[in-house]
Amino acid sequence: MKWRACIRAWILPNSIRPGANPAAQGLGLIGIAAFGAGLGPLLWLIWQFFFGNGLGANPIQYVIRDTGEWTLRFLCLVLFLTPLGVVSGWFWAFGLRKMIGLFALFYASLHLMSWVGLDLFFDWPSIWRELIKRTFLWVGMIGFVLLLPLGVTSIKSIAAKLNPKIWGWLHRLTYVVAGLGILHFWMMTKSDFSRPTFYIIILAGLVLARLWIWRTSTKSASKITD
Amino acid sequence: MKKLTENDVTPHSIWLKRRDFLGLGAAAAAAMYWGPARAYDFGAFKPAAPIDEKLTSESDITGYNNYQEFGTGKGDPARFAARLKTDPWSVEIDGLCDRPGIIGLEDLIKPHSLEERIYRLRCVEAWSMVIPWLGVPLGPVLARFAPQSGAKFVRFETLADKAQMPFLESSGMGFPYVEGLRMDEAMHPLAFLAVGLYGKNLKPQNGAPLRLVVPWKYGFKSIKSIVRISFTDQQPTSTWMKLAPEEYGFYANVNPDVDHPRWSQGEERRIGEFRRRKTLPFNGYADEVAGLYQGMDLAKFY
Repeated sequence: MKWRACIRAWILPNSIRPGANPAAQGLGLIGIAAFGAGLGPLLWLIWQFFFGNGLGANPIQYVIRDTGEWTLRFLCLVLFLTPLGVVSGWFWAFGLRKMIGLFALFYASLHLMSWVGLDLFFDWPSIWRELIKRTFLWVGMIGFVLLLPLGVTSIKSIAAKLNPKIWGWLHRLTYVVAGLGILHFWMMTKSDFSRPTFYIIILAGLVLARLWIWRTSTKSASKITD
Repeated sequence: MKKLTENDVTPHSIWLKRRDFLGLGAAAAAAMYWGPARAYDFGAFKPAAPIDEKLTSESDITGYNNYQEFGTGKGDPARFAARLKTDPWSVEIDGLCDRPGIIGLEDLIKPHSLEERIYRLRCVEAWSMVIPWLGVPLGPVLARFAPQSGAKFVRFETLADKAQMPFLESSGMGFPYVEGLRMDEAMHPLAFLAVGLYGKNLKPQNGAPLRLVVPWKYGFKSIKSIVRISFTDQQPTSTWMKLAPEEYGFYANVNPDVDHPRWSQGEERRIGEFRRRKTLPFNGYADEVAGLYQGMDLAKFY
């Protein structure tokens, strides 16, 4: 039954195959699907602009809000992949983290660029003035700046130069970035806090899940050493 | 001194009975007396003087709204307010006036001749529109109820109907929505009560069937779907003042020099335009209204 193995190899990520490196690169169809899905929100925005409602009466604000919220969604998703992988044993979940994390950075960049380029039309004095004056803006900005080293150190050759321990701690900044992103969202909200609250609950759940994983893994590790 | 016999003030009970009568299907008789539902003579309004600013499209005016009782998304009011029942509609007039009472909307509007007014609307969120309103000046309407000399402010209240407004309670904003004007602001010729726009009846998302339009103030002052007007000697506490006093003041005059804590008010985006434009003091109506605020520190009374 060689064809079945071929299809398995094609559909399933390398990491699922016995003996494969969990942090493997080849994600097979799952990776392709995830990449397509990650581009979905952007393609949908473009589609709506040209063939849909033109993004409503205030398209620039729509683009800013939409890309901002997708950043939060991808940040939550990437943090969800770790507990998902641990609980389910689906190693592809770990492999997918890099791509989803980069999508978070991608949408964060679109979010920032649409504010700078569309909303304020590269009016640098205004941008600078607003940035230092408005707390919620620099909260968001710190989040973005913290996200940059995570993006850079996801490049394999650079990651290889880093002590894996440092790399691991660095990438735990994702939790901080998600927290800052949600704070930024909360602070710009006028009256209805249900959506920022929703993200706070999600992030709290993800932090708890991570703490639980950490506790159980250190327990089992100590059992082994005992 | 309550003169409820005045023609223009109908007690609520009688007025409701009249509606029952209409409901029985006496359409012809009804049409003779009251005309079809909300039949203002939109053919005969006094058209507005043209201004050299482009009107915002009707679809944007009716599709991009803030009306928190119907949701917080800009498209929510158009989606959820459609079923708002605006006919019959009555307004309660109370407080420091000689002729309080409950008055049907037709009776409130009919004695005045409808006018069209093209006004800029500047939202506190730094976007703006140009809207051709239809309605009547506020001052003469208020004068009919004979406000007493002690009446220093007018307080307005929006309908708060749980059955019709899906986000009335979940919004946590403490509705009914309340707004207010100083008496001299309310009597200013620019202050306007709108019943229509673009030559048609107001749509619910725009505050049907009766809304305030105060063009030199941020949009949230222009309260929608009014059910109560009270004359008072105390400055009313508006809904937004109560929610965030450091962000929204009682006066809320459009002022490019006083920022919202979270964004600049120096510029705005006119809906339909790409680049921002400069915001004008009093939304461009300074010549007409600046005198109302002489000697006041507008940074303090924002």
